[in-house]
Order: sequence, then structure tokens, then C-alpha cells
Amino acid sequence: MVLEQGFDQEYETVDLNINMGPQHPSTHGVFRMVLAVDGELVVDVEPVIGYMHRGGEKLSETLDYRQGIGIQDRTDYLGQFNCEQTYCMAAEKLGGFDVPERAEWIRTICVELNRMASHFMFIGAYGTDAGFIGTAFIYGFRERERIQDLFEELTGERLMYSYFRVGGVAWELPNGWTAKVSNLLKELRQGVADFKGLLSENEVFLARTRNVGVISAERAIDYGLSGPMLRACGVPWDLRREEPYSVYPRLEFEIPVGEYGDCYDRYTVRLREIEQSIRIVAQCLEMMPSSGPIMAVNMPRMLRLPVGEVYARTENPRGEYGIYLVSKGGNKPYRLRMRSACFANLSALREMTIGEYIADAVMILGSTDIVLCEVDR
Amino acid sequence: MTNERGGTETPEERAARVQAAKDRAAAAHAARESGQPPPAAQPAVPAQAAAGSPPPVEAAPAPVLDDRPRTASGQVKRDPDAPKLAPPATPEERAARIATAKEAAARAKAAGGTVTARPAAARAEATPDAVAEESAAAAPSDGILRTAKGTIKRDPDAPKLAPPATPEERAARVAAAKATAAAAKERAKSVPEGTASALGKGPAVAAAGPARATGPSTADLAAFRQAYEAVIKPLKSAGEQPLRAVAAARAERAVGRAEFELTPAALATVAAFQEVFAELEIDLLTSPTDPVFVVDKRDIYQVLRACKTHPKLAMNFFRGVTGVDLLDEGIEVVYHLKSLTTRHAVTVKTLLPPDDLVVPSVSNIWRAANWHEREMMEMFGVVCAGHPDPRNLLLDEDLTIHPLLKAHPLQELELRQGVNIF
Repeated sequence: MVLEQGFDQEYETVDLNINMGPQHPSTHGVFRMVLAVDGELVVDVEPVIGYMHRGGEKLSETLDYRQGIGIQDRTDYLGQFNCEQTYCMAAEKLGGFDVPERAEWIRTICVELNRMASHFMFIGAYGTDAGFIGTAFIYGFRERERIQDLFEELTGERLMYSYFRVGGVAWELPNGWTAKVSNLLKELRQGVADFKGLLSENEVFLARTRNVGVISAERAIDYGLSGPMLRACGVPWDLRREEPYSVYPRLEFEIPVGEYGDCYDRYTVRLREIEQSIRIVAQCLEMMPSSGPIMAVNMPRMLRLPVGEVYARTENPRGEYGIYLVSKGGNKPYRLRMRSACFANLSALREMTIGEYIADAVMILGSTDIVLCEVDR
Repeated sequence: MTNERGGTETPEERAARVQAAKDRAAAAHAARESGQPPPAAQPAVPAQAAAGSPPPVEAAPAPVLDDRPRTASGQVKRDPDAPKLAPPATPEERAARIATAKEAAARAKAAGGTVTARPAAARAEATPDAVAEESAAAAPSDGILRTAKGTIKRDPDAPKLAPPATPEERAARVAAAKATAAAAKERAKSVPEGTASALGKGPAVAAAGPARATGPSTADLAAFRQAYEAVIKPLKSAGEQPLRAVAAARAERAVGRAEFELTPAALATVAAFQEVFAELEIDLLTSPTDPVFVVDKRDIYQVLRACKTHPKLAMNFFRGVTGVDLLDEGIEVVYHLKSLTTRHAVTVKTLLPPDDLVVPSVSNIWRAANWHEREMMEMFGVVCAGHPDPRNLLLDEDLTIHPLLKAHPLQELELRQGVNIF
């Protein structure tokens, strides 16, 4: 109707509110963005979260320290071992349990493999966001499947592992598992090389990610970003190095950082982290004692931690994951708080998205690598 | 780094575009808070006008057609009280509606208006439907409690049936339930003529979902509120007592807070902290990781601001804030802070008495605090005074429950809340 008047006039554009999600393939879960757009330009965005809120903190208050590990698997379903490690570390520090060395090596292998699986998953899904539907996804899933096969052999589960225990790990490695990990590392190196060929220098991918969603280092710190999101801004901040835990002080690895803090840097930082994780796992296989205890000695079957509080934190694939545990002396946490990395990373979405185009909003959201189960807990 | 997008936009242009959008968003936010209409929309890329077509004629002020409420961009706001149109039942009905709307638009255009007059005209045509819907919503007045969707609510006081012992008993029960349902259907058919037929549907269909089109009626809401007051509220307060008793017993059994040895890094943090806050009374507790400082509630904002700004502390990384429900003592608010420059890591906490659950918001010190505080407010009922956006974050926006309080039972209440909650 308006078009009948011809094209030679200027028209005032009006801001439209667009709901993206909660069921939208680009939102990586149940997540909604309310975009206020002026034409193609995003002038405001409001993230709406909470669809996956299952009350994990409240539930943890009703579960004893062994049962609570299951909640951690379900918090970040792409970094299960990492979350289990944080939870176990919190209880071990409060209870004063010494984890045997072999158990620490086994844990480190598991969490680093898990980090690689998570990053491969991110890169595959991010390639899909950029328009490589299918190709990038299958490349990423191929590598993730290889890692998951080993996890399945180790724990009997494909997703909810529940393998770590307060004081160690649940059982010994199966026969020949370390040899399989050793072989896997070669394939993973090839997988990284594949992605470099597929995405890193791809014209379309560069156009979609470079200079998009830029956030400065100061702003990123102010928003509490952590993990690859913060390192992409050029801040070499990694808890494995800054607040060393487990066996990380004995390992050699680099901390990849970005330069511009845009989507492309977030992608390359994660890709280079995979290479570093491969390095770490190779060192672990070399330095790990071939036998020894895997559980702390004289652990009570029913844990009652002393009265006190602890904030344990680890470097998860998505950033700093923290467990704030308050004990009143019972066999269950009096209060358990999970500091989610994605929660803080997502809170900067508005800052990164305003002024970009709608299509880039998808790329920016993808680059935060959110797991909505961890955001909402 | 040059911008690859299209090769036309230089980094400076891009920065200007982003800045313009951010300014606009900030202005719109400020306007929304002060209640003023936001500034008129600017053309997205002003440079285009200079490059291409002749300069546009100065835009005439938008014609004000009537006094209907309008959005900032001039679109007519939908009247929230106006009844919604039922979706067309048949393709013919749909075609007829479209034709009516088009006629109305043409009339409005001829009268000098714009096409935005369409919704009002269409609504005027739809009034018979609206009347019918209103009467249909009031139809189920048989004294039975109903949910918002119009289905019959289970009486919460009714005793639960034991599971059927034998297959025969089960069959008998099924038959009895079917007979009851058939009787209810018959009753629905006797609803006065005109209430349902105007909807273009059969009476039975209307009886199956009478309130669906309009949402819960006021009668329904009143019934629910009554049920809530009668059933759920006493249950909630009754649930508090044993929980408190259990928690108290547990606290008695506890032998007292354990002491932990602080690491050298933590001791350095303690020294820095005590130097900066020499004149304040701050208790030091130990934990296996960070030192824990207990600050008086009156000093908490001052202390936290100094944590960020004082060069010896420079805690620029806000890890999070959360609460711990200590029952009769009140609620403890716990901040986890970290410095990326001085490497200090501390836990700062303060106790809010149960009758004054207010703590100053620190979201103007760290942007990261915004969401963490919103989460704490909804989960514990703590008020962060001065928070710019104190809406619920994870919970439904209308919920006023505080699930992480110890008085909030995990199962009994929530199972009932699945039905409806205010």
C-alpha cells in the first residue's frame, strides 16, 4: 500500500521488537533475545533466560556429597568432568582430604579431553551459525565422538559421567585406555588441522566474524567475563596458571590470547586451546605413575564436612566455574552456590550486540559458547 | 584490521555507526525511565542522503489522528483490555475478515488517515464476537473450581483414591468416571443459546474450552485465590516449623567453625586489606582458599567501593554475589572478589537482620553485579537498593516466591504451585 507511492521518497523507519527464541536453532538451547531493530540494525537487546532453571542449588542442599556430583554433570553438559572436579575440590579442601597423585593425573586427562570435546562442539556449532550447515558440524562432532567413545569406555555413560569422587576417582582406568588416548591425540591434531583448513582462512567465515562483537578488555573484566571470552580480548587470564590447582603447576602449556576481542579471536583462542590441551594430555600420559591408589585413604563412607565455607574454582571450557560451599557440619551442604561462567559471559551480550546487524547477533551469541543449563542452573 | 563486510564501510564509519546506535539505546532507556517519549528515530546511515537522492523535504509532524495511546514510533497501541479475535474457523470466514479489513483501510485512507487505522476498524467489526466471548467466559457458573484453561480443578481437600486392587474394580471406576463426564457434557449443552453459537462453533466445542480464547475470568481468579488462601498458604507456614527445628538441631550438633591455615598469598591479602581498612571493624575468618572478611552492614558499600578503587586492592573482577539463609539470624550476603592486577582474592560478607533485608546495590561499581544481584533478589527476597533493573531474572516475572530460603519447602508446595500461583 505504501509502495504504490513510489520509491523516490525517504521514509522514517520505526523500531521493531523481534523475539528470537526460545525455540530457535541459533540460540544454542532454550534462550530468548528480544531485539529492538531499526531496519537491519540492532539498537537494543534484552536476553531472557531462566527457561532451563531447575533449582540445582536448592536440590544440592538435599543431596549428600556423593549424590551432589550428579547435579554437576547436569549443570554444564559439555564440561561434565570439569564441573565434577570443582565440586570435589570444594569438598576436599573443606574436609582436608589429600587426593592421591594418580587420581589427580587421571582427573587432569579427563578434564582436558572434556575441554577439547567442548571446544570441538563449539567450533562445529559456530560453523553452522556462520552458514556451513552440516559440514562444520559433522567435522566437530566426529572429533567429539572419538573422545566420547573413550569416556563411555571409562565411565559407562555418554553424557552424565559421575566418575569423580570426593577424594579421588571412582575406579581404575580400563586396560589399554591410556594407549587409546595416546592414539586419539594424533587424530585430534588432524582434526584441528582440518578446522584450520575449513574455517580459519575461509573468506565467508572471516567476513562474518572479524570485527564483529568487539568488546574491550576493560569492559570485559568489568562484566566478569572469563575463559576464552576474556582471553580473546588480550588478557592472559587462566586459572590453571593464575591460581594453580591439581597438577597444573607441573605441566607446560601456553595461554593463547586474542588481539581484538572480536568473534574471530574467540574462535581462534578456542582452536589454539585444543592444541594446548593435546599437549597437556600428552604430558600427563608420560608423567602419570602407572599404579598407585586412586582414592584418599581412610575416607569415611558418609562424609560430614567441618563447619566452614570455601569458594573453589577451576578453569572450565567456558571460563571460571566456582563452587561456594557452606557446611554446618552435616552430611549435606548447607548452601551450595554455583558461579556459572556462561551466566557472566551472557550478561555482556547487550554490550556486544548493540550497533550490529541482526545476522551478526547470531554470530555474537554463538561466540559466547553458552550452555543454557549452566546459565540457569 | 579492515572491515571485510562489503568493502564499503571503513572502521571509522563502523565505529560511528555503533556509537550512534549505543547513544540511541541509552537515550531510549533514559526516556523510558523518566516517562518521556524517546527522541525521534534518526536515519540509520545519514551519509546516504548526501550521496544519493536530493535532500529530503523537511518531515512534516506526523498527523495526530485521535487520542488513542501510541507507541514512541507512532503506531497505535493495542488496547490491553480489548478482547482478542478468535481465529477464523473456515477459509471463507478468513477471506471475509480480510475483505472487511481492506474496506476499512480504504475508507480510512480516503478520510486522510493512514493504514495504521486498520486494527481499530477491524476491531469495530468484531464487536459481536467480543460480546459472545465475554458471555462465554462467564458461562461455567456451576460452582465447580476451574483452572485458567477452564478444566475442572481437583479438590485439594478431597481424599486421594487408593489404587484399584483388582482389574474389575478398575473397570468399574473407569465406567463411573465416564458417566460423570457424560453428565457434565449434558450440563454444558444446556448453556443458554447465543453464548456459544455466536462463536461459530457447536455448543459442545464451546463447553470444552470456553475460557481459552479470553484467558481466566475474574470469577476464576477469585476462586483460585480463595483456594490458594485456604490450602497452600497454611501448608506453607506449617512447613516452616519442622524445617526450622531440623536446622536448629543440626546447628547445635555442629561443633563450631573450623579454622584453616591461610596460604602466603592469602596472608598478603589480609595484610593489604587491614592496611586499607585500618579504621573499620572487620572480622577475619579463614577458609581453605580465600580470607573471609565480615563487614558491618552499614559499611558494606564503602568497603566494596574501596575494594575496587583503592590501588592496593584494585579488585576489578567481580566473581559473584549470593546469599545464605541463616534462619533466625537473617540472611548473609556474600561477595567473591578478585583482582586481575594485584592478584588478591577475598570473600566479603555481611549479615542482614531478618527485619531489614536491604543491601546497597553494587552494580554501579561492577557491571557484572547486575545479573548476580537480580538472581539474589529473586532467590532470597533481599532488596538491592538502587538496582537499575530489579526484575526477576531466572524465575517467572510474576513470581514473588523466594525458593532458596530454607522456609521454602522443596516439594510439597511446588507440586501444588504447578496448578496456579499468584
